Amino acid sequence: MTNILRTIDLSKRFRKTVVLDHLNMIVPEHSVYGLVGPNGAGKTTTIKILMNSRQATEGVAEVFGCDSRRLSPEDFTQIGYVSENQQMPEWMTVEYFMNYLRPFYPDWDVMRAQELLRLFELPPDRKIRNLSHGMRMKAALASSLAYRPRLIVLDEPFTGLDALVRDELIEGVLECADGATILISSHDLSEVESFASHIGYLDRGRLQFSEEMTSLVDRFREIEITLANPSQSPISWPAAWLNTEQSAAVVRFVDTQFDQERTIAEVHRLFGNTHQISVNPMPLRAIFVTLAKAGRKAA
Amino acid sequence: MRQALHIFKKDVRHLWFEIAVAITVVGAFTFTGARRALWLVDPATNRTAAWTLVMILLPLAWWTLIARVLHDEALPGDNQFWITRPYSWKNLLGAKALFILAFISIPMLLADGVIVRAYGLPLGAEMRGLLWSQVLIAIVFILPIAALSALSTGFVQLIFAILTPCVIALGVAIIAPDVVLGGFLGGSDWVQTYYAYLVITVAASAILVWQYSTRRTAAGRCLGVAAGILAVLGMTLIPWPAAFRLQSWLSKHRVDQSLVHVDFDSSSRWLTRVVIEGGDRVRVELPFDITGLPPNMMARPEGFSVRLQGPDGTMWQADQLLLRNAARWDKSFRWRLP
Repeated sequence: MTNILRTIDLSKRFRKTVVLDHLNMIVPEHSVYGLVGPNGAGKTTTIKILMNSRQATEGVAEVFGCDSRRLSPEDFTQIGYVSENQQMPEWMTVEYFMNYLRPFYPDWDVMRAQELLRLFELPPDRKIRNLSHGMRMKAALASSLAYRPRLIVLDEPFTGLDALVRDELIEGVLECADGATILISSHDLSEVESFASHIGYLDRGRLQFSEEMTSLVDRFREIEITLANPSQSPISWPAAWLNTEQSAAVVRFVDTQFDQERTIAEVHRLFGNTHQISVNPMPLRAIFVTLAKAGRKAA
Repeated sequence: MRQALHIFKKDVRHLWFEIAVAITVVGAFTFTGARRALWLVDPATNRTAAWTLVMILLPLAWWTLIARVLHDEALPGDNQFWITRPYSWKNLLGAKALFILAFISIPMLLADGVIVRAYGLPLGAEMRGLLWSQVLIAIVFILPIAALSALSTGFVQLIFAILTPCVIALGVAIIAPDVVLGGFLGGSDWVQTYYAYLVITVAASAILVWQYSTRRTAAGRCLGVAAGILAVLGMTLIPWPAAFRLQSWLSKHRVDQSLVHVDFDSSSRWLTRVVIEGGDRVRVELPFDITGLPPNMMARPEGFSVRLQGPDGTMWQADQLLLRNAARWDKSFRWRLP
């Protein structure tokens, strides 16, 4: 799998404020990469540097293996970019907007463009300024999918949208992606967890983790132990165990590197005999909350 | 080129109203310009107010058109839809240049041509002048506003960018008029003007190319401020000898300086006067005789050195005094020492 997007020690500072702090991120080809994190984490800045809209203070951002500062018009014929706060040509009608963009893209598919307008139920003769926020996002998306881009970048595309429009957009993207790599940023995990293949968690300019969704879900387990001898307590908790809690006879923690045999062996080594060990898979939201809490505690 | 034409067509479609207004004002300029000579000789038909109004409206219409077309793909900022589209900066800049050429320069050239014909002058003979006037219009009216538009996102920013240096210049003019008006260069005043044109042309062109190729607005704005300072400082600091040397070097008429003499005109000794004006001011009037000038050439006093010796032998000397207030009065000149 080649990397479509990559950042190497990418940093961005606005005067004394560090927005990105040596970010190393890889988005593999054909993946649907969800870049999530709280507001102000640096998601939009990362994307804007990747799209060469902003300049990094340090480090390198690569798109298709090339430095993003050298992205050429030819490169942009393979990129579809949609952002929640994109300034659109308000005076154009939806149809004129699509027709205007057509000559810029050698692979523009007229039939597909019409299909997208139908799919998103966009009124062709309405001016962009008269479209609702949801419709504008749909228009932006339709204009970014009509040429089958190799890379689709969606920056907080669902902000301010109702659930129905959001689902329509997701359906539209997945239906028309044709194996394209998708980078989608969101402050809300639930928006991307249903369809992302990879996930990266950005917090205060640092990538807390970045990996395939399946491996992430596989390696996190919530574990509850009922101790045989309640007085036992480990001298030091393993680094991979987070949110550790211990009452008289019960120990709870989250194992971030869960492996059935290894984890059970570690429990026995630390606590001796146990009455019961309960291992529960965690929903993605719980994983994020655990990581966020741990990150803040460490900070 | 195809992309440039495509963007150009979009701009024409979007800005048809602004184009129509600008063309109408150029039409009014042509009409009033062609009749202006009549109005000047016949006070009964005087319409100079109309001419003045057109001369005010014309740059306003052009500036609006330039700002609108450049702001259609605004360069500062990172949220514009077009910056993540396959725009080639050369084509974008080319489209904007084509637009300005099509709706400002060419209509103005045609208007000037019509006016020249209305005065009964041969168009062919005047063509060089007409083209040169287009270059000057581009330098004075088009390039500065285009550069400022490339550094701003909309009208509010643009007006602020125009007003700020004006307010600063006004403030400086009150405190130190020479800084704004430029140093005194006499007959070589054009050197200051053309220096300013040169700085404007180079800086505005550099800003436009820089902004369209990199969109690094902060650096572009610094360049704009630096150019403004350079223009004002240069105009103030160009020394008269340098300006004079440049003019002499460029002049087609060579003068053998060894033949030119400036002497006290003893035949007009009766003109010599010394008047005590009160306080410590003394007016000294001396007649001079300038000889050795080639035919059809006029001497214009711009500076001199003075050495005054009092009866007690006290000397007062001043070198290179420039005559800012020299006024021609018939064949004599009245000079006031600075």
